[in-house]
Amino acid sequence: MYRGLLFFFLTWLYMAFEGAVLSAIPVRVPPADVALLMALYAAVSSIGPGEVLAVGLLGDLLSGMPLGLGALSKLLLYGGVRRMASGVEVAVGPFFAAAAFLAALGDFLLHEFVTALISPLPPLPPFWILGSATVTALVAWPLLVLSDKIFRVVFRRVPRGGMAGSR
Amino acid sequence: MRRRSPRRTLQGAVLVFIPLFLMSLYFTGKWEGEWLQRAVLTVTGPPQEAFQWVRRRAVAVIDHYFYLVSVEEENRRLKEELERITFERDQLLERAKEAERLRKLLDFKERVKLLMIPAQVISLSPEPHLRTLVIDKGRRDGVNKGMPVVTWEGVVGRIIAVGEGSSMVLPIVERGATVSVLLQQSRTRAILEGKGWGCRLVYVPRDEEVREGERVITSGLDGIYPKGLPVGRVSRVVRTPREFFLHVEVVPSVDFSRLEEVMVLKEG
Repeated sequence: MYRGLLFFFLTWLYMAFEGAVLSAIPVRVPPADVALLMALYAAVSSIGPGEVLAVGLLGDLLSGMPLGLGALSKLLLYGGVRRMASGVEVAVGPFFAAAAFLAALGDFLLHEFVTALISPLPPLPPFWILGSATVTALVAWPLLVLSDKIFRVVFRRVPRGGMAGSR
Repeated sequence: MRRRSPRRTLQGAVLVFIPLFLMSLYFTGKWEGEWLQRAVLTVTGPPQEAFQWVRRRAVAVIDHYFYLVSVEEENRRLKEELERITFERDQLLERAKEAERLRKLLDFKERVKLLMIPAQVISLSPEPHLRTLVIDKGRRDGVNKGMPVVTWEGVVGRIIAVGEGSSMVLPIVERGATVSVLLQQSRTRAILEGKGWGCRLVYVPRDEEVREGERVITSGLDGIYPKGLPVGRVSRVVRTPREFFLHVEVVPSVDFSRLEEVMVLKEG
């Protein structure tokens, strides 16, 4: 339970910090999808889907998106990665970054699909989608290492009980 | 192949049902999570304000003590003055046109008096799907949902969620944002719609004379934005033979990447 709480508040902290940093950057850059990265982190760790749902809802509330949309996509991503990643060590730098890139694209596809179903809004430009997926992939590995370090400091072990690549 | 236990399958189904249920409530307008959003904004606002305070202090130290103090200060003052005068000129131009038309009407009665709540941008949305802004003024400062947000340059957006000390703004360039507008020269009415990256005008009949470079201002018909506020300039007009409406692209007058100070308009 405490691990889940730390995961949730850590994600909240990351998102609040990212938002504040983005507002200080004088150019409009595509942001990294931190909630998605943390859902991915949960999928390769022993963190449950309840926490992922909470993080997804938090992302919706912090960005003003329809409540539940982000949470649904993060849950589906979590389930998908958890199934596919069994037996594969995803928590290794390049693999994790690649998984984050693909997951970010998948997340955009799902969002655009649901948005198109609900209202006839114009689609997001491809450069924004690719830019955001790339930034998400670039941030993936440092975020994984940082989160592992924080878990290690608080609980003396990472949620997976050891991580390839950062040992 | 390993079989999933029925308990876990049920747990997964329940968890997927929750966001679907919340979405159905949201899209049917039954519940948009207002109090939850207020709580999240209220808790997230103070640390973000603290971060911005530290950042501004650091920038101020570098800018004001190590570099050309007086020149920078003078430049800033003149820039603000210029922005203010440009804004006032646009307002006056629009007022003059309005007065010309209103002189013909005998029963001109009221003018909207606006109060402004100055605010600072403390955060952007951390999600790439919707780029909302968070400002450091909330319910305790008199900010309410639906209030318009502007700068000296023009319209920024409207308040979509309010916390105790911070609020969320949906910028006009984002998807789902709409503004009732008027083309300043041709007096053509249209709806400005955010595209996620820039804006466009919708429902402009193809026989309307819309020119590139023409100024776009608020029409006041949506009941959110007061009439005459600058919105942007027409950057591209495309006439397609088989379509009823023109494709009109608009460049917003506000530079959203450099947005720091804004004003929330409140009817006084």
